[in-house]
Amino acid sequence: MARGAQTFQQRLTNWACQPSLYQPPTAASMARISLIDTVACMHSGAGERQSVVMSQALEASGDEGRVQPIGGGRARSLYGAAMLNGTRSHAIDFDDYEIPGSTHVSAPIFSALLALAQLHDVSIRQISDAWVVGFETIVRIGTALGYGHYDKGWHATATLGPIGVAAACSRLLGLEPAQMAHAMTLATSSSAGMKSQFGFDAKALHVGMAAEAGLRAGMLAHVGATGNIDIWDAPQGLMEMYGTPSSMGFDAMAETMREGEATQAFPVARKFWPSCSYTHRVIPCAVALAGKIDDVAAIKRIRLRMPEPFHRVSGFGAPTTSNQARFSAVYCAVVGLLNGQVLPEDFTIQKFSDPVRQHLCGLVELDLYDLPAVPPDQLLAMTPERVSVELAGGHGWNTKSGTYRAAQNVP
Amino acid sequence: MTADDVLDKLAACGGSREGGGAFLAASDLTALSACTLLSAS
Repeated sequence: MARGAQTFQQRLTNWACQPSLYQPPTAASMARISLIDTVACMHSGAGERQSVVMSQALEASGDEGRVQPIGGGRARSLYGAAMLNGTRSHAIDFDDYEIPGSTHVSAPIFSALLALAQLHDVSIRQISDAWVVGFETIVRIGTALGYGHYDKGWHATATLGPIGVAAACSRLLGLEPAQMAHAMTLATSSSAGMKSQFGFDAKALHVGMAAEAGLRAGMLAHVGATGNIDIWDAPQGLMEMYGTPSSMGFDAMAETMREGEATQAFPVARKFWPSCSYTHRVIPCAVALAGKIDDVAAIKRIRLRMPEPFHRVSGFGAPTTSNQARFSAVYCAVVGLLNGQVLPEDFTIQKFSDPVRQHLCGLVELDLYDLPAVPPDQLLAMTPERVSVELAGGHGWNTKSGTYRAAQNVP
Repeated sequence: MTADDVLDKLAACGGSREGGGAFLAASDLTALSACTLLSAS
């Protein structure tokens, strides 16, 4: 065990509860930009059906209060507003994410913080510090569990998200390290949600539920509720229950953990397109080919080569719903080829039900391959996508390959 | 993604680009005043 027998949890909470939070100089700016990005997503998602059904469910349950959800509408209870903020923030899958844990990180955290902030007079600096704590918590847990946790089928935003939200809310509430530890372990009791829900309303609802669950855990710890804080590497703990044989675990992860520096080591990635992040490598390939196609009627075949586990996440074909369109690498490739760009309106029923688009989706052949056995930090760079198009009367395939670049680095 | 890109995204999503710029430049604000700045159109 690292650093004088201190556990991962002790080190994390001791750092996270410092009066003056140690963080890289860029972290506060990153938090502000992520706040803008998340609020934008809340606004754009407010009218989507997932947000509407969440509002209706809150209304039907008699939820009311004095916390205003971001994006408008009736004031809600603290937990109701957090759930609605979270659902809105993820309704069109446009919000940011982090790599080690494969989670949408800012949406659940800010959804809870912006609700809690209405009951406490807090500054943006306090909100920013709380986001840094939540981000760090999720990245470190994600590193300990590894990609296998997500690949196995967990929607990591719904499993790791509540724990990060609990830590962030604990910071905002000014809890002591021991209280924050209890908030985090209480939040693990709400770590649930599977990737099999992708393409359905449930995915965005997961984010609302993660925000609410983490916030509730923080509030419970604030008034003295406790849980088993020996929850990480212990028998029947998070590692054993949610990890895989390839997970490094928390003690091993802590050997190289530098508290406070996750935002620098693993910068947040922001989205240019409102679709699954695994479509974001396909889209630039397709867009690059668009200029070479004078007549879409001449397209004979489209071939899409990508890693099988990534396609499993974005595996819908010709979409029949907006949610499916966002999780269809096939559809996103077709739109990129057709228009040379992908826009938010491309995920409306008027666009995805267009007969030309549906026909082209049917021309896509998949060429899926296994992930290479490389260290996790090299995985995304070693897994290229390729879009190829064969035109009638043409001279073979036009091909464009691309590898992963985090959205923050795309010019 | 640059700060400018994020402000463009805010405007495209129905928020206030000018408010976003003011938010980035402000030394400090309350959370609620920040949300008001970002939301006003």
